[in-house]
Amino acid sequence: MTCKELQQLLYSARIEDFDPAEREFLKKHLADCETCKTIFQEVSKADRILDRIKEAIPLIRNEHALTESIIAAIVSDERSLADISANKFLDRLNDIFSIKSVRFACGIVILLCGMTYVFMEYNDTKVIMNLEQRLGKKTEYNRAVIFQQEINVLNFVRDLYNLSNGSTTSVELTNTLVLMKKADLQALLKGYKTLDETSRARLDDIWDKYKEEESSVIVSEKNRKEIIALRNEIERLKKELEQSNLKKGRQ
Amino acid sequence: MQNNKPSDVLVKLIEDAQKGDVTAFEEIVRYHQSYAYAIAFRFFCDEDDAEDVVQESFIRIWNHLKNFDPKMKFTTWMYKIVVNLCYDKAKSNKRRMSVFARLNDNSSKDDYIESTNLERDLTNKETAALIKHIADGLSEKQRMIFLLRDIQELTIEEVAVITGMSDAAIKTNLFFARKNIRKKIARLEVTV
Repeated sequence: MTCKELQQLLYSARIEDFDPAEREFLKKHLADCETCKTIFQEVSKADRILDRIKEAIPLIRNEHALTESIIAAIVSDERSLADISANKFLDRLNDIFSIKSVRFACGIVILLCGMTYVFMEYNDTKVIMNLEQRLGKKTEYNRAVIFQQEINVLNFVRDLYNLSNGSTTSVELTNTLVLMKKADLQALLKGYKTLDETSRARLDDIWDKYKEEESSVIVSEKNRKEIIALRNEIERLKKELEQSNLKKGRQ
Repeated sequence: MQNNKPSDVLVKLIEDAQKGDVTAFEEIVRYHQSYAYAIAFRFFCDEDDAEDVVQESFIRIWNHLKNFDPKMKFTTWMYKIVVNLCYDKAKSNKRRMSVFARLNDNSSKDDYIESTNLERDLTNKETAALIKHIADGLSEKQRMIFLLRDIQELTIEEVAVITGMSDAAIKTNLFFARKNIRKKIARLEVTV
């Protein structure tokens, strides 16, 4: 190792980082070379000063105040972030609704929903009003009576028309259905003689179905009497029809 | 400078802070702010700049705490953030020419350093003046690497993680930094 190389090493590495061979060379060389010895002394002095800098731990002027300011900044950031996200949402809504076409589309949707609801309500009311008119206001088949007997009527209707539970979505709808069917039945009875073959077959089917299930259907005594009366009427009409058909056949 | 916070306590504090516990984070700040401050102060040689960097660093740590990899040493991760913010602040200061105007203001600096008694504990002001003098003329990278390796006494591997530089690049920068600094100190008329 030359003097120049040793001086480079002395300036750029710490003595404790020297390997044993370099240390041995340094020890021997310094005894003979005044220039390197001076540099070694300078470097040693530099290292002592650096050690003093190392030992001088920089002190925060007010540690507590610094911690407080950090935490305050974090908390305020969190709050402002929450505010920003809430405001962003409202701003976004505002932006969306500031577009004329969006406002128009929303208005149309609300109007359509409202109209559909009114139309459906009107339709139901119309059906019920129509039935009430057909049955007469004093008839026992008004809504109040039907609603009072809803459980019995429901069971009757389900069995009679082979409806599953899932097919009746609301009691009111089912009651309406009952009213309609009862009205149909009465109309059919009135015009039994004049019915075509299909309508008669339908009526007979309904009736047969009821007869099969009569024992299991829970109906009020009043309804049972009604049903029996209807059955007798149908039986009578049937016989009448058969006799008239026989007479027609003889003639 | 070694962090003496028991690692299991620190792990628990970090876990709590990751869940949004500000009190746990406050505890972390209390334990670590002096380490972050030491680097920032030695880099800027200015108390205001150092405090600004420490505050900004902990806000960034809080915001990115969920991304902290527990396999990494917390102080190494913290130093990485502090060092990056030191560079950012130095850049913005350079734009305003404030810090570097102060750093390059060498008038009567040597007299002040030479009157400093190095046999007693150094004040912040004396440390700042010494570092300013000896690191004058170094690039930001060289100054930071010298501080991390020779003053903070971190390993080459840690310095590599913190600065994102290769071992070879660190050694080269360190070589120039040490050479310059030792030559400068050698010329100082101070007794140790």
